[in-house]
Amino acid sequence: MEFTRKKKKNSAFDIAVTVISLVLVAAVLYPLILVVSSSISDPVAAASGEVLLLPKGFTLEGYKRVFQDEHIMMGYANSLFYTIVGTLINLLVTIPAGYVMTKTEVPGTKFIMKLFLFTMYFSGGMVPAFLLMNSLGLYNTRWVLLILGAFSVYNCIICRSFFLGLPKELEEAAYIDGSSYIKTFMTIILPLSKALLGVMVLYFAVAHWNSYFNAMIYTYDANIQPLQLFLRRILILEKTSAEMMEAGGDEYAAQQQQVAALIKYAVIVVSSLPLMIIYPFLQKFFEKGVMIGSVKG
Amino acid sequence: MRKKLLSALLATAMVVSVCACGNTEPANGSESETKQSEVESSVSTSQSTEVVEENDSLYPLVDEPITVTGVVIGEKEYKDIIVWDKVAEITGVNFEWITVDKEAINTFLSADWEFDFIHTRTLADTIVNDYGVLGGRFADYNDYLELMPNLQKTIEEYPEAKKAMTEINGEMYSLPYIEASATATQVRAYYRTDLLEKYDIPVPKTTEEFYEALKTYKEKNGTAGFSGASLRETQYWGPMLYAAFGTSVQPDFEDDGTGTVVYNRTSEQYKLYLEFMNRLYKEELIQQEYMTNDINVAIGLARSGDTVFYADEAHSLMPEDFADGEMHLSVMAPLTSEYSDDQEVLRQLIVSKGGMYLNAESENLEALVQALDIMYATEEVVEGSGLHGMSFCYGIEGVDYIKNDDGTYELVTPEGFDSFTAYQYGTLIVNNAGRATDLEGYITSTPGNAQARQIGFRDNIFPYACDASKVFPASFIKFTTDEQDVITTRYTDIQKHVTEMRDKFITGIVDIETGWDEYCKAIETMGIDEVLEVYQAAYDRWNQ
Repeated sequence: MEFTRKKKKNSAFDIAVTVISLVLVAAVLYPLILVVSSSISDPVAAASGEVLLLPKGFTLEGYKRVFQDEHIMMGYANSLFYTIVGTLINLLVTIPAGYVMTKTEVPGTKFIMKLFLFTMYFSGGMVPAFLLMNSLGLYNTRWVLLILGAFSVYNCIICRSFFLGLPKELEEAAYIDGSSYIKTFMTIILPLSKALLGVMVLYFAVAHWNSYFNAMIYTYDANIQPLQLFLRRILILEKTSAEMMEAGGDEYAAQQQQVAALIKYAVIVVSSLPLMIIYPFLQKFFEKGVMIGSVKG
Repeated sequence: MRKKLLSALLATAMVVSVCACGNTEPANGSESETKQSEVESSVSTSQSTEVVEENDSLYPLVDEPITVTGVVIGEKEYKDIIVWDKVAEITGVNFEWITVDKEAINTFLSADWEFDFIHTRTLADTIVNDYGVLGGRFADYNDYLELMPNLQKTIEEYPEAKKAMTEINGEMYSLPYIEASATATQVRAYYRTDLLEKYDIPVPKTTEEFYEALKTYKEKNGTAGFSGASLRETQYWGPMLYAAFGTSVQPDFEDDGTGTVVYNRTSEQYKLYLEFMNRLYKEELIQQEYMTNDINVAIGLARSGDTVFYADEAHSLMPEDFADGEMHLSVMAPLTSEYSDDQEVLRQLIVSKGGMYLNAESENLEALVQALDIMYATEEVVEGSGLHGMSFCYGIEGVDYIKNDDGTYELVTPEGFDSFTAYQYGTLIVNNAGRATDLEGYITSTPGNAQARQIGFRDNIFPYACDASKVFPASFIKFTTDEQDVITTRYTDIQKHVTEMRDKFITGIVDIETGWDEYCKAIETMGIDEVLEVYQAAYDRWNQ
C-alpha cells in the first residue's frame, strides 16, 4: 500500500517536471528554429512577422551574400583565431593561478587573493584601460583582444575550489618522491582536472566567440576584427537610416536597409554554428564540472 | 576515440572552409576592377599625362607622390575608390582609408592621430567643439583659402556656406556640401496612385480630404492606409501636415518674421496638428503600431497594399511590386486646411555639412587642401579627365552619369552591381561630398522608383517650398560653451518630454484638450525661456 502511494507521488512529480522541461525546451528551441527559418525566408516576409515557424518564400540569397562577403569570412577567421588562442592564454594564466592560490604555505598568497577579489568589485574603468592599452602600443593590434581580460578572477576562484577538493595525499606522495611543484601540477593535478579544464574551455571559448565590445573600442582595422562586430554593424544598420540619408541620400539608406534585412538572419546562423557544433562534445565535461565552483573559499 | 576524430574533422573542415571559401570579390563589386580599367581606358593615362604636362603649373601638386590617410566613420571598408584614385592620378596625392565604428570614434580620437583628415559629414558637434574649438587639433580652412580657388568661388556664390561652416571662434574646420538635385527635399509625402485609383479616391488637397481618403480606404480595403512609419517632424509627413494648420513651416525653432526666435511646440498650430493626428489614430486610419513598426514591416505593408500613404518605405518599392510591373508612386502636394490656405512647406537648404576635418599636425596639408579643392570645381580640372565637383557625388561625367539635352540624366550602372547606389557608395565614392549642383532641375531618364519620386518632387513639392531665408538654420548656428551647457541641461530634457507627449497626444493616452495646458506649463518649468534666450543670442550672431 505504502509502495503504491509512493509511486503515485513520484509520477505526479515526474509529470510536473516533464511538463516544465518541455515548456523550457520549447522556449529555447523555438527562437532557434525561427532564426533558421527566417534565414531562408523572404526578408520582407520575415520582418513582417509572417514567418512563425516554417520558412516563407524560400531563398538562400542571404547565405550567398554572407559567404561572398570577404569581411564576414575574414571576421569568421579572426573569431576562430581569438577563440582558440585566447582560450589557450586564458587557461595558461588562470589554471596555474588557481593552483597557486591553494598553497597557503607560500607567503603572500592570502594577500594576493584579497587583491584579486578587490578587482572583482572595483576597476579603473574604460578610459584608464584604454589609456593603458594605448601607451603599451597595443591599440589596434590583435594582442589587445588576447591580453585584455586574459586573467579571470571569477574562474580562478572556481579553479582554486576545485583544486582544494583534490586529495592532498597525492601531492604529498609526489613531493616525497622528489617531484617539484610544477611537475606535480603538470603530471598529477592536471590529469585529474579534466572536468575543470572542460568547463574552463567552454566558459572562455564562449566569451571570446561572443565578444565584440573590446574589438569595437580598441581596433579599427577591419582585418583584425571579429565576426561579432560585423554582425552587430549589420543588425544596427537598419536603425541608422537617418544618418545614412544625411551621408548618402535616400537611395543609399534604402539599399543599406535591404542588405541588412537580407543577411542578418544568415549571419546569426553562421556565427552561432561553430559553438553549437562543438558543445555536444564538451557536454560530458560540462555536466561533470558545472557545479565544481559552487562552493567557494 | 571516434568522437574525438569526428570533432577534429569538423574543426578542420570549419577552418579550411573559412580559409578557402572566402570569395575575395564582394557581391556588388565583382566587376569593380573591370569597371575601374574601363574608366582608366576611357580617360587614358597617356592622355591625362599629356594634359597634366600642359597644366603643369597646377598638377601634379607634389614632386613625389604622397599618401594621405582619411578616416570614415561607418561600417564599410574603403579601398580603391574610383573617384579618389582619379584625384590621385592627377594630383599625385594618394588616398588610403580607415573605417572607424561610430561607437569607437571617441576612443579613436583620444589615441594618437595617425591620419590626415576625417571624411565623415556626420561628426558630432561635441567632437568638433572639443577637438577643434577647444583643442585646436583641427586645421582652419581660412588659412588655406588662397590655395582653394574653387572653394572661394563657391563661397562667393553661396555665402551661407561659409557662415554655416564657421565655428564660434571664427574658424572653419569642415567644408560645405552643396547639393541641388531632384531629390533635395525633406518633405516627402509619398502615395501609391494605383491604390487610390482602384478605389476611386481623389488625391487629397486639404486635410479634410486626406481624412476622407483614409476613411474611404479603410472602408473599402479594410486597413489603415497611413503608415506613419516615419512621423518625424523634420522629414516626410511631419513638416507637411504641420504646415497645413498655419503659417509656420517648422515645428521647432523658427524666426517669427521679426528676427525673434520662437518655439512652436507649444503653439496653437502644433496643437491643431496633434489633434488631427489623434483623430486619425483614434479612428484607426493610421497604423496603430506606427511607433514600433520597423522599416521592413512598413515595406511589407506598402507592397501588400495595406497602406497607401508612405514615408521612407516608398524608397524600396520597385516596378515588380506593382501588378502591371510599372511604378505607381507619386508625391502629394502640400495640404491646406480651414486654418490656412497657404501651401508653403519647409525647404531643404542646399548647403549642409560636408566633413573633411583636417588634422592640424598633418605634414601634407597644403597638397591635401588643393586636392580637396577639386570637389568644388565647376568644370573638369584637367581637360578630358571628367573630374570636377560633381564627380564626388556621381562619378565621371560621360562615364558614370550622362546629362541629356532634354533635361534628363542617366546613371550608368556597371556590370556586377545590383544598382547604381550599390556601385556608387563604396566603389565610386566614399560618401557625397563637394559641390553637386549640375543636375539641378534634371530628372533621371531611367523609369522606376527614383524617376517617379523626382517627378513628384518637381511637380508637387519644389513649387511650394518656402524661401531659403525662412528656414531657421538650427543645425548651423553656433553656441558658446555656456550656451551649450544650457542646451545640454535644459533642452535635451525638453526634447524628450515633447517627443513623449507628442506620441501620447496622438495615441490618445493623454487627452489634448485637458492635457495641453499642463504640457505647456511643464515645458515652461523645464526652462524653455532660457533655451530661447540662448538660441536668440546664437541667431543674432548668425545674422550679423
